[in-house]
Amino acid sequence: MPDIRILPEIISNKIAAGEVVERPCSVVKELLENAIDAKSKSITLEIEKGGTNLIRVSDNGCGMSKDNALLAIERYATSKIFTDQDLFSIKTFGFRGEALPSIASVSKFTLTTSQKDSDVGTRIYISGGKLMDVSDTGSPLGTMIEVKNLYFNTPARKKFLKSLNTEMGHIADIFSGIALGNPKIKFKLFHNNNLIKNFSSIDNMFDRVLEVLGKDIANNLCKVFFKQNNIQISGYISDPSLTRSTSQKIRLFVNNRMVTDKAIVSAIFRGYRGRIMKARFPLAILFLTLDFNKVDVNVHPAKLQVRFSNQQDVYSAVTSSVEKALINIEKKRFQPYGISIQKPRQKIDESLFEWNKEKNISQNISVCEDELKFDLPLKDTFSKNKTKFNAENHYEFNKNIKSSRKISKQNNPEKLKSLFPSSLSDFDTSNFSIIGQVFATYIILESNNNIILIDQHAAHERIIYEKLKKSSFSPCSQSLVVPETLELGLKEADIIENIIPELLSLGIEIEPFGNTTFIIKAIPAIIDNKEIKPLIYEMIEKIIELRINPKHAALKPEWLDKCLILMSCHSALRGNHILNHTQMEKLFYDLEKCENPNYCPHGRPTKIKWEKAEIEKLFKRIM
Amino acid sequence: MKFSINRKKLYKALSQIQGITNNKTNLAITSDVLISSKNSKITVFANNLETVFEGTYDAEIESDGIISINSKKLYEILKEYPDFNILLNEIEDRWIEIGEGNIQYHIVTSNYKNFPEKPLIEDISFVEINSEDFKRMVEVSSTISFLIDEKRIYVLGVCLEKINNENKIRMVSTDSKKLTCFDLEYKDDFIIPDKGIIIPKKGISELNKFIEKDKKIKIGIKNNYFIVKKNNEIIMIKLLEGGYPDYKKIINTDTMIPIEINKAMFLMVMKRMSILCSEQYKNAIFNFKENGIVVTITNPEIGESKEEILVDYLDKNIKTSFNTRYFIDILNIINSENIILYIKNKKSPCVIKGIDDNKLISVIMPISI
Ligand SMILES: Nc1ncnc2c1ncn2[C@@H]1O[C@H](COP(=O)(O)OP(=O)(O)OP(=O)(O)O)[C@@H](O)[C@H]1O
Ligand SMILES: [Mg+2]
Repeated sequence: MPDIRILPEIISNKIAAGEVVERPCSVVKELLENAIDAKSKSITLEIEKGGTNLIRVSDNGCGMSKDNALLAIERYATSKIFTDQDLFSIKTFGFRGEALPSIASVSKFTLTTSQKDSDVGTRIYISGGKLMDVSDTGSPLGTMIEVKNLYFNTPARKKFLKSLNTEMGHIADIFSGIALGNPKIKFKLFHNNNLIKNFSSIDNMFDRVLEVLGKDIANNLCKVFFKQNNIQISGYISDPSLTRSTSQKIRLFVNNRMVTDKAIVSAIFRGYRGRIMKARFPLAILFLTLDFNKVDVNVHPAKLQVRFSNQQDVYSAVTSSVEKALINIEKKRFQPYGISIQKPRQKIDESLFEWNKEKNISQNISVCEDELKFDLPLKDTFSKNKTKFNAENHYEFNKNIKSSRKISKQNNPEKLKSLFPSSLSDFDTSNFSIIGQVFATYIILESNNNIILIDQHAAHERIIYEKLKKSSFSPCSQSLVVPETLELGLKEADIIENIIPELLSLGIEIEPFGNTTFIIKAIPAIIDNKEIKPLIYEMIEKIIELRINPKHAALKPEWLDKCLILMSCHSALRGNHILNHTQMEKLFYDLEKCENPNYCPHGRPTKIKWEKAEIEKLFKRIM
Repeated sequence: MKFSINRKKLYKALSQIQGITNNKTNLAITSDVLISSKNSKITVFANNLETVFEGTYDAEIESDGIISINSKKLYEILKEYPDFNILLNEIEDRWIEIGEGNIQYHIVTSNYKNFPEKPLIEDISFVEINSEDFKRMVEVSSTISFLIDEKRIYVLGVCLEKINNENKIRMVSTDSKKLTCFDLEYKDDFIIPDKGIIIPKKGISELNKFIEKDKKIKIGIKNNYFIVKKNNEIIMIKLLEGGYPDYKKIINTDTMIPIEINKAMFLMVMKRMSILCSEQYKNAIFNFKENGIVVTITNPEIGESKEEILVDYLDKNIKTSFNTRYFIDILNIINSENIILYIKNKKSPCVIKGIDDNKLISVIMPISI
């Protein structure tokens, strides 16, 4: 093996360039960030041929002296970090002193800069890493860096570039992203001498956001603002009706630095839980602001990733901020229907029921609520002829009964009312009317100037899910005459064994029955007329799919929630089921009482609407 | 084929088979009825692959033949037809003319050769049973129904078995949440497999219409069919295969505490309680305590209710919970002024017997809270 040598600087710069400036847009990013670090108020980016011909960044920042300019193109030369303390609290975008030498090593590079209070500026020309010329020049205050013929001396890298349009697309993306993160600075972008983006500094954030996400979605954005544990989160996210099939339109900024971070994207997802479908992505621009010393930016060659010292706090703040923003917008949107949104009811205060107290009867009564009565009418087939029953007897019997009508007398009626606040009459029914049902699956409503279609299964699922979810609800379980046997595989048996107590809390009583066999002795009363086994199989599948170890206490809420969703799905009424008017009305009322009435727990919409104007347009009544 | 028959006679036959022919199967032709005429008799035949009906009736036959005709349409025509007799005439291949004179239908029929073949069952040893009791047995057993996608055999069917050393047969019906057990005496020798047979509830509900209290009823089991015969008519129900779970432990009241109660009063209490029931809150709490049962129900969206029933009860306090609608269902089929509720502890079922009704034992499973 040959001897070990220190690489000539030119070569090591080229190697670094491979990581730091992988493609034209990386050059753009580095140069723009330098300009921002130099406290510029206005930055212009000019591109020719997707950046392969020319990348030119001109700023009106502090500029450099001749000596500093010469230093700037040396590797590891930076003005931004002095001590190793600084490294743990980086406030500038740059900190390594690598960008300029790397860029200069793979292009024909010209740096022209001029400082305040100096009559003459400096011009440095480097070609493929070799310093060719240093001269004095007259130039305006600030710095201009020209990068020509990028990768001219690294043909292999050049080959990897995509089409000019693709590269230009990336550049525009980076440009807009950086502009987003720095709203106080003016940005201009020219491509082949045409001005294609112009962010003036007076622009509000929202306009820049639209510039990045697309103008047509202005109505679908929800504002995010959230603060917790010294973490501030602001920005915009799309409402759940607007999703994409990739995560490309999720932009994250940590202390104004554009970053990519899968964990934060997942945290955003969790905020959307129950609102969007699998494999769909929301649009989002989120700015996370936190103490500089809580963020390590020195983890990725292109500075695209960061690490948080308080990861969990950050992720949970992101999730909460998204949740809050969505709830806010959903409330706003549905207010026009004249339906008040109610806070989830707390467990009823049983002390109000005096006779409960004195006789100690129903302490364990769980809170359940009225529900659509879709089951078959009571079978009274024999009562007419068989029950020997008449009014006289009835009177007699009633004498035997000590009826307890004292409830209402002893309790303050106002108090009772607040206990049972949501009877149908509380709703303002003037704003909508139920037109009927189509395909035995969707309910049609007219409301103000809208036609609303409700998916009865999705809606019912949402209603049941929210009822099950209330902390106060503990499902009763119906014992079975004949326990059902579950024959499971080893893996499934292992899971079931670990979640027996949790299943019991859902109303499912399961016992091991030797080997991998289990018996179900009782089932949740709310689904007592549904087959139980498929539900349990689905629950196990879900836990396997989530790769959750059910013993892990911290993850319990997540899979229990999934189980509740399954339970609501199983007990919800199906499509293809004819409803009468009262049932439809009740379904709609109950849905509107939900905290999140617009989506079923799986994230499918519960309703869709058309505006009258849209319909008029279709009929060409209006143009 | 051409024959004339008393309209009412044929109408009654057709009305008995509507349940069979309306039952959708994979074969479209099972919604037809097969009618054949021969030797001054016609035979009406329905078969939905589970339940088979055959009836033979006197008629004035002009020519022999077989047709397969939509059962529902023929039934509706017979229902509205005004005359005493009705004429059916195959005027050309698979075209039937119904009626004569002013009223005439031409109805297209199916190829009778596609009609599922009648199960070959011969030499059935029938035993006669009390038709009134048998009708009640069938009614009681079909009170506990099943839902569309049910797959459990013991819910889809009822069990018919012999009670050891007694000349009694028993029909057990359950949906796993409640159970009924109805016993019936018979005289002659009746052969049932030891483990009993499972008859589909669908077929049982057809029997409900078929059995008439004032007509002799004979039953028999042969070749996997349960067969019921009434004069010139016969129904054959294909048995379900599988074992029936052991229910005997659950109806054994030896160690349970009996509580006597007036049925009508208890039924009223249950009805009043179920006013406050809902899909998610179906159960009432029963507190058995000295000299009384306190029944309560709380439904946070509607309200609550409490009633106290005076009974002879001196045992320990037991607090348990049941679905009130199940009580209503069960109480409605008990023929007795007073009943006995048996309970044991909060996890035990409630067994219900009528004091003057020794034929029926019912069980309701508890709900744990
Ligand atoms: N547009 C500019 N205006 C003023 N000074 C600049 C400008 N661009 C670069 N500099 C100076 O040149 C130095 C080197 O820049 P370079 O981008 O190579 O390193 P850096 O920004 O310090 O770190 P990094 O490699 O992380 O970007 C900077 O520290 C800064 O002092
Ligand atoms: Mg830099």
